[in-house]
Amino acid sequence: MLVETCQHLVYRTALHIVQQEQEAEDVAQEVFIIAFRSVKSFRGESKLSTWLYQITIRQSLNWQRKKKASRRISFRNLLGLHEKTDNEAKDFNHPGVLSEKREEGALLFKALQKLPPNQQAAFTLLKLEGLSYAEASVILGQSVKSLEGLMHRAKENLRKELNKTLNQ
Amino acid sequence: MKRVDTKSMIDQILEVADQMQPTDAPAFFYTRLRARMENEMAPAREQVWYKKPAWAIAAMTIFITLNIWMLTQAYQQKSDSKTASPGIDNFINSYQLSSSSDNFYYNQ
Repeated sequence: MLVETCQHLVYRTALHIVQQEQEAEDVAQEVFIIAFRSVKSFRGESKLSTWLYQITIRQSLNWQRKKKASRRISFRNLLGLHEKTDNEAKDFNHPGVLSEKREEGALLFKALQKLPPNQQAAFTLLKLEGLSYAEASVILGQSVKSLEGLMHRAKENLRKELNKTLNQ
Repeated sequence: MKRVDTKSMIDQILEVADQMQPTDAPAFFYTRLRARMENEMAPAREQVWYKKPAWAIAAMTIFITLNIWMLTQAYQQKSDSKTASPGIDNFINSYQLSSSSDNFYYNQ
């Protein structure tokens, strides 16, 4: 019942951050496994969706951090051979992006990957998931005011990154 | 002019976030999740040592080696006993121990 109700929410959120469909499914599965194991710790003070969003954001960012770390410490890099860095990561075509906006969508998600994790989480919840500041602030454990500041910085950084990309 | 173009392009790119369609989880997500959970929650089957293939192969090798050795030993003993029989025959004859020499005692 929990899975049927919330699977799309969890998968979608994971996909925004992880940016690979197969990996997003793996992360989404892990989220539900964690949720089942720790259901006793859920006190019901917040909505179930809030709790799941929290686990999903955490697991997705953990996955991203491990991926970046493994890219940096790859064997070829240790040997001094050039390995593809984050800058050269494959373009992600999000299935939710309209077909006529594919290119712009790929640029947006590439720039999104460059943001610090907290800004990425804020942008994902507010812009991509369409949550309100009140809901997102509960999920991220921040006040609405600090979340507004975080979102402002996220947009600034996205603009800088896109400017750099377009002027290359 | 180029700066305005870049700015408007960036605006267009950022607008993509507002125009996105909701994405559903892949088909059979629940089925695969359930299979994974059953797999993770199943108790790990401990293999008893003698059921492990490596142990079984080792035991069979030892068994076959022992059999071969014993057969070799038996064959060797058999061939040894054949080569020793002339000596034993001489012993028997010199002391007249064969059944035909029973008369030795009767005639005395």
